[in-house]
Amino acid sequence: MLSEFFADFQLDLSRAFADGVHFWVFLAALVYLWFAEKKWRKPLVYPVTVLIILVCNPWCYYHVWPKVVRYAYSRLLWVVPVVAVIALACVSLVRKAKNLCLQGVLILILALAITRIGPYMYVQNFDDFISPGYYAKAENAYHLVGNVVTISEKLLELDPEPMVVCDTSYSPFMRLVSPKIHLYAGRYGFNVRTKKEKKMLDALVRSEPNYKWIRKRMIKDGYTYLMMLEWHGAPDVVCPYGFELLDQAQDITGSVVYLYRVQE
Amino acid sequence: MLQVIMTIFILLLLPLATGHVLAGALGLYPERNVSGLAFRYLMGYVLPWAIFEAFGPLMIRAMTTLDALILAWGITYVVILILCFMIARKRMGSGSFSAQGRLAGENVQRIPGNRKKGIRQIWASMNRTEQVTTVLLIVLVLAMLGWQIWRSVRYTYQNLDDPTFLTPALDALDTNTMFRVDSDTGHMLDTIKGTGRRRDTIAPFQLYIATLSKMTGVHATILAHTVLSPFLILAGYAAYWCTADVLFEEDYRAKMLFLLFAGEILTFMGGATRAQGVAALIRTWHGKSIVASVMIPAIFSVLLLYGKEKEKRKALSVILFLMSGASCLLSTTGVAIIPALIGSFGLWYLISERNIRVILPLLFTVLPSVASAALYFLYG
Repeated sequence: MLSEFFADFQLDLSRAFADGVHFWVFLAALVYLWFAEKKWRKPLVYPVTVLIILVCNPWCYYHVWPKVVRYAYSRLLWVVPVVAVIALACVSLVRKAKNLCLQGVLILILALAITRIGPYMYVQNFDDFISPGYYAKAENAYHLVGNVVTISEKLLELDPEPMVVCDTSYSPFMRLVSPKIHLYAGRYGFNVRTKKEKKMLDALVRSEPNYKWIRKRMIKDGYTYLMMLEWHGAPDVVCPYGFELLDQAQDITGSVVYLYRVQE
Repeated sequence: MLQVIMTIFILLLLPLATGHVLAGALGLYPERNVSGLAFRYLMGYVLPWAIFEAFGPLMIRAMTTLDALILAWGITYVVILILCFMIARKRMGSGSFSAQGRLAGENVQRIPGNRKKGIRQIWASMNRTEQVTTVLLIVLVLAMLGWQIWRSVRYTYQNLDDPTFLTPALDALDTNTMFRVDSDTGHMLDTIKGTGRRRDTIAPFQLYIATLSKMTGVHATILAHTVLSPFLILAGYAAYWCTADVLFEEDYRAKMLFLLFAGEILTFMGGATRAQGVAALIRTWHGKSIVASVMIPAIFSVLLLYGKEKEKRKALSVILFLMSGASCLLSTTGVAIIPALIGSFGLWYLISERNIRVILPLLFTVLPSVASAALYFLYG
């Protein structure tokens, strides 16, 4: 039971504080403050201890918090003042040294130690079990991938309210450029609301999409533009079914995206 | 140019003025010191957020327009500011609530902020070595802030979840409706029941972004992704400053060292999208990120003060109430977790003081969460 709790708890810690080490350093810092700063015991150490007992005990973890925060227990861990308590312990340690040089040395040692307890923030890749993301230099003021902005603007040039059927990782971002862009369906596997949307998305993600059916469906539902990834939507495959190639760009994933228009 | 002026006014000057008036009305930090400034800046964001939450969920349910919500929010905001200004003037004596924020009245409620010396007095009381180290620490803090703000403006984070959080703001601006458009597709819906993220309707921070976009004239995506970040990073550090202020009081060097360590810990808390450090410095504009990086440290600092300044608990309860309301606007995560933070401190105060009355004001402060949760269960 307890080992199971620690395994689950460590997973949540890694979501809330990057790798979970911070929490154990925080506990050590709290113990240090209990001994070193007697005047902070009542205002800080005791209430924080009550907080930890309530938030991090196995019984509440399995029986109370799932009902309150559902799947997002890791977010509940944000209320534990990890950053503040570690920083307070560091400052307290520095203040214990009376000599200015010794204080400087202590600051450097502590600063170096902090760099070892967690991953550096400004890295390129972020892991998340639901939605991995990446960090990069911004290409425009929107903070969106440049091609998303370019192709969205192209669509808006062609049509003030373009109706788009889309199978690329562009789709969720295009509506951040303009809400005038209408999409057939939301993100595959996440925000699909109707059976009709699901049927279309299922048709789009196949290795050999049925473009005859897709075209028929698009015309029936008033959609004009189709965006497909190269691996199953290259012009030689799509155009014979009554689509006209308008433009191409690079997708966020690196492969090519083609923009087509339905020919009447 | 007008957009730049409006942005600076709405995101910097107006919050400072709001916080100044509110702090004056509640009798908190009336002297002109750094702690007062941090607190005012923070409260300048908290008050409009709390007012927005008071109207937002109900008006969304009533299916009114975005303009109607902005009007109701704006009028209430102005009325509360005027009331706070009048109370502040009365509290501090005529003419003493000056532009410098100084006071001379005898009837001012006194908490640590009031007892503090001015910056000049503190500077004069330092020896040469202390002055040099203080300047060095100020330079280091400013350099750290500047670097982190530069990274937030110059770099971007791409995550497939992000558009879902922001498109309701663009749709609201485009159609003048609230949560009536399927944000993933742009299809107009007959009812808000049809939207996928119904829980967003009780924490409609996207609509606040839409409001800011309308007021500043800046595109909502640019505003959220690029413009808001520096101001929110500053708000996060203001909250940490307030925490340090309660514990270190007039030791400014300790407070700045605390900020440096806090900033470094956050910088080395990356690698996972949900990590608190990522929320504070990269995914800054998300409602739940603001809860994690601004509201929780801010509430923590006020709770510390609540334990320390027993005679000022009523004023601090009002602050906590507003912060709790603001957290409810930002995210449903705020609705759920803020009571856990306040409740834990309340339990400790109940144990240590053995007086049920000590937690009554704290019960009042979690009412926004209770109301939001009730709405969620009624309509969710």
